Amino acid sequence: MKFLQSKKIAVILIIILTITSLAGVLIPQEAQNKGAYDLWTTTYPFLVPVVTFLGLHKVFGTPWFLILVLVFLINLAACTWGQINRLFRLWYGLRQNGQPLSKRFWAIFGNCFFHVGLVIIVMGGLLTLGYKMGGYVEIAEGETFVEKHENYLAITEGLFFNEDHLGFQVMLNKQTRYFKENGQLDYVTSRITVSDNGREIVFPKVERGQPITYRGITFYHFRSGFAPYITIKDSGGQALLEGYALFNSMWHNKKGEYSMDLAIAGTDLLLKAKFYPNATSQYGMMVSKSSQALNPVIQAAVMKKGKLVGRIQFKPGQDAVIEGMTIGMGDIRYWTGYEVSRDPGAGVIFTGFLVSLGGIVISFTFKSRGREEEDYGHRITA
Amino acid sequence: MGIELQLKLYWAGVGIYTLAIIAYVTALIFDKPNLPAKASWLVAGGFIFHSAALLGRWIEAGRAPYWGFYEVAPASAWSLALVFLLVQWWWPRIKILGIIVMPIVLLTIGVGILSSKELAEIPRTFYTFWLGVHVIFAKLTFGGLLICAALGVFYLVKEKQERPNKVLDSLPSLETMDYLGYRFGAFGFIMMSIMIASGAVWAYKAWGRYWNWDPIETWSVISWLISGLYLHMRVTMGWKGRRGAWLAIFTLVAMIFAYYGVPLFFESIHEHL
Repeated sequence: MKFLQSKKIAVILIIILTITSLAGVLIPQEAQNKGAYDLWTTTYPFLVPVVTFLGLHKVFGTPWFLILVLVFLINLAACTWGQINRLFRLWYGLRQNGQPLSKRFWAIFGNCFFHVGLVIIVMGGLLTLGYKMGGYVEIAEGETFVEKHENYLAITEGLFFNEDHLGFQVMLNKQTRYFKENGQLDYVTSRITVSDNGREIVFPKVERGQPITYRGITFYHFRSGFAPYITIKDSGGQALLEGYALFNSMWHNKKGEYSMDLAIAGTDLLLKAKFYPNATSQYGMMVSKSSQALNPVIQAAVMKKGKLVGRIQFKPGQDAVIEGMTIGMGDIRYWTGYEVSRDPGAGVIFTGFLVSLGGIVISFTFKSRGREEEDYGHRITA
Repeated sequence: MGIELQLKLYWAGVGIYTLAIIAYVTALIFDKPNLPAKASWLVAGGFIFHSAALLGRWIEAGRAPYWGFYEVAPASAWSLALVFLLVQWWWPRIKILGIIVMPIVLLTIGVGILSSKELAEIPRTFYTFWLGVHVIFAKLTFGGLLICAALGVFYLVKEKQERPNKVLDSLPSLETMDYLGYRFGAFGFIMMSIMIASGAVWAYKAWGRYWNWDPIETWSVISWLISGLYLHMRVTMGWKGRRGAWLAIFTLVAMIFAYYGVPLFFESIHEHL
C-alpha cells in the first residue's frame, strides 16, 4: 500500500502523462484530425514506422496510455485514501481532546476533497471511454432516422458499448430558417418528433446550443443545408437517380454556395454539384445573393472516370441534358445534421469537477498560516 | 466607436505603457527606488486609454471582445494590466514586477492591434454563459501565473544579487517572495482548473463532447499538469526557492504557448484566434 501511495510515483506519473500528452499535440492525432495526420505522414515519412509502432498517432486511445491512466488512478486513489485516513485520525484526535476543528483540519479536508474529485474525474473519463456512443446523422424534412448503428453516417462506440442502440425513430418535421436583414442565414431551428413504441413526443425547437435528450441520447444541431429533389433519367426515360440530395452548407464560403458529389448508380459518372439558393452572376461567376431559396440553381461538373466531360446548369422547370441523361430539379426541402451522443461518463466528470473545485477552494481558504511575515504584517503570511 | 478612434486610444495606451517600462528599467539600472511608484501611475494612465479602446470595440461589435487576435490579445493584455495594478496596489513593495509584466502587456497589445480588424461572424454556440466563465477564468489564469513567474524571476535575481541595489533591497525577503509566488501559482492553478472545467461543460452543451483532445485542449492539460506539478513538488517534495522559481517560469511559458503558440502552429477547433 505504501508503494501505491508514493508521492514520488505520483510525480513521475504526472511527468509521463505530460510528456505523452505533448506527443499527442506534436503529432496530429488521426482520430481528431485525419487530414492533418495525412499531411504529417507525407512531411515526415521517415518517422511514420516508429509513430505507428508506438501508436503515437492515436496516443489517447492506445492500450499503454489507458494502462498509464489506470496506474495514475490507482496511485491517486491510494494517495487519497491515505489522506482520508490522516484526516480521520486528526478529526478523532481533536474530538478526543475536545478541541474545535482547526484550520489545518479544513486545509487537509479541502485537499482530500480535491483529490476525491480528481479520482471521480478520471473514473468518469474511463466510463466515457468504455461506454460512450457518438454519431452523426443528417435528416431531410419529412424523413425519419431510426436509432440503429447502420443508420449513422459516422459513429464511434466505446469498448463496452455492445451495440446497445434503442431503435426509436426521429422525424424532422420542419426546419425554420431565420435571416438577417442582408438576407444571410442567421440561425436555424428544427421541429422533430420522436416515436418510440407507439408513443410520440414532439420537440418544437432544436437549435445550436439547445439540444434535446431522449432516453439518455442527446441530439445536437450541428449543421444544415438544402435538399433539392433531383431526378436523373436515361435516354429511355428510366430513372437512374431520384430523391432529395443533401447539399452541405459551407460556413466560410463567401459565394454562398452549397456543394456535394453525386455518384450516379449504374454508370461511372459523378456530378460535382454546387447549389446556389438565390443565384446571380457576379464578375462572370455564379454566386448566391442570400441564403433564401428565391432563385435556386445547380451548377455541376460532370466527371467520367475522373475526367471532366461537361458542365451543366439546371433549375426547377429547366432540365439539363448531358451524356444522354436528363437531369432535373424538383421541390426544395431543408435538412439538418445532428451530432448524437450518449455519454454516461459526462455527468460523473462534471460531478468530479465540482468536488475538485470545492476542494481547492476549501484547501486554499483554510491554508494553515505559519508565522506572520514581518515585511507585510497581516497581508502576507509565510 | 470606429476602428480609427480605437487605434488612436490603443496607441495612446501603448505610448504611456512604454514610458512606464522605461521608468521601471531606469529604476532598476540606475537604482532609483522612487521611480517604480511613478511608473505604476503611468501604467494606471495607460490603462484608462486601453480600457476605452477595448470598450469601443465592445460597443462596435455588440458583444464582448473575444474573437480574433484584434480582440483577444488586447483583452488579455487588459486583464494582465488590471491584475498587475491590483497586485502592486495590495503589495506596494513588488511594484518593480512591472518590468516583467508590462513588456508582456505591450507585446500582447501590439500583436492584437497589428492583426485584422474585421468584425467576424460568431457561431451561435458562442453566445453562452459558459463562454463568459471560460474566458474570464482564462484571463485570471494568465494574470496569476504571470505574477507568479515574475516573482520567480525576481527571486532568482535577488538571490544572485552581489552589490547593494535599493530597488532590489526594497523587495520583500526571498522567503516572502517565494511564498507569495506560491500563492499566485495556486491562484493560477485554481483559475486554470475552472477555465478547463467551464470549457468542458460548454463543449458538452454545444456538441456533446466535453473533451476532444484538440491541440489547445491537450496543451491546456499539459499546462495544468505542469502547474499542478509546481504545487505538488513544493508541498510534497520541498521544491521551494530557486527550483520553485524555475518551475513557475516554465509553467508560464507552457501556458503562453497554449494561448498563443498552439493556434499558430497547430490546426484547432478553437477558431477564435
